[in-house]
Amino acid sequence: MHETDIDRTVARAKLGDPTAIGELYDVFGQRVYRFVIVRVRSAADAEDLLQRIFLKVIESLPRYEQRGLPFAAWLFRIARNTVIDHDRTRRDHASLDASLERADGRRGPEELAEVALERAALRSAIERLTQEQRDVVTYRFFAGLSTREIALLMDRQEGAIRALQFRAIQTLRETIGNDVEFAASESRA
Amino acid sequence: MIRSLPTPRFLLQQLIHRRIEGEFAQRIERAFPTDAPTIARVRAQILAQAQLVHPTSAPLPAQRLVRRNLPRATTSFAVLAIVVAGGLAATAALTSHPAPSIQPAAFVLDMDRSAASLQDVLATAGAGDSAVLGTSLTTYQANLRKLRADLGLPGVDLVAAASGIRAQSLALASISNQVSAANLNLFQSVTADLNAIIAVLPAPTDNHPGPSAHPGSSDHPGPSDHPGQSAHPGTTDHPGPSDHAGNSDHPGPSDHPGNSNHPKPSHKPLPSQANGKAKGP
Repeated sequence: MHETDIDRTVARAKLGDPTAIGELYDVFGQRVYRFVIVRVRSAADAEDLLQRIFLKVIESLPRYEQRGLPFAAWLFRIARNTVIDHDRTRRDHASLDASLERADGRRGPEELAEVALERAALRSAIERLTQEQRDVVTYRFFAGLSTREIALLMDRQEGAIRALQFRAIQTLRETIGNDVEFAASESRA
Repeated sequence: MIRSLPTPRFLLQQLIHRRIEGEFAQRIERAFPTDAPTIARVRAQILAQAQLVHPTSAPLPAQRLVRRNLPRATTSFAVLAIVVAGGLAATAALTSHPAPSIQPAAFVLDMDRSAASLQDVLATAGAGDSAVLGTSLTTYQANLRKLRADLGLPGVDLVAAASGIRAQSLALASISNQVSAANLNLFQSVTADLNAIIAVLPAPTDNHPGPSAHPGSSDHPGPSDHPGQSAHPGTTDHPGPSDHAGNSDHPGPSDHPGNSNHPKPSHKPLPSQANGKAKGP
């Protein structure tokens, strides 16, 4: 959905139109879920957070100004703060893998093991980035925001975001490559 | 102003960068697949909750009550609360139905009393029995379907039908604060029924200017409908601590904020009842 279409849908949602709220969820639901799952370890937490984020968005819609941040950036700011609050209060994370494997029913056991390995490597590599790089990577690749939206959200220049992303990907490539090779050699040994 | 053209080296770097970006995006998609049933389930829950946040009808005591409690409730408890609130809202919305058998003022008083009892029920809801919950939900759903069917029939006693739903709602709230996965579909179906019923009912603001039937202005709910920080905690970007009141599985005292959630009018008769008159549509 184009930004102007999103703005129109947001305007309807602000008036309490449930269809518009549904449409916004259809556009952003998956992206928010993906943004959340990389930061939590429990599927129940991810589901709870997804719901909590959208409820906050709906509650805050009357205060949203379309002249300010683009809606996507505004939504993910709420998402980020909700996840941070969640991290502060919850430490009892269970494994996320079971639910992701359930979501991945078409894959065989061997492929699932490979994916789990890659997931662990990705998560660990992302955790090793600087805070800013991590934010850029999650906004870009998990939330699907554009460079412009990330720049507005993080209050930085677009060039600075591109540079952060470039460095982050370079670091990730090196780290993930090493991690996957290391894990593979460990499993072979 | 003449803009310098990008150098071949720069273009090549851009291409490589985009390719790396694309590869990385694919890896993420592969490693973190989205869970379609979860996405769909949350969608249904959010739409049900949106009904409470942006009610299409006038805010009612029970809705206000649940709306205040909602952010602090667990997901499952919230769903239950929505069902209860939805039942109460649907019931109350019937007061604006232009059927001759309805006595709006008396009914609203009854609703206010129900809201007060609901607060007690929500406060004391204990461990749940999924089997009983499932049976009650089925009955509840059947009642809703009957009500929906009855709405089209002339001369039906809507008050009696609505009272049945209210009783079911309260019974549900009293037996459980937990919703098993097996009951979730049923809950969603019940919520859909409720929404369907609310959708066919006329808006109270259109048909009910009378103050005795609807305490407060329905178009512009007063301060009690928007109780500032407690209902909308924190700023947009930094929701305050009231959204995270400790362990959500065991709602503490903060989930049951004493008298503030008891709308005053509920404990005393409305002027129209005191006079023995009911202002109808």
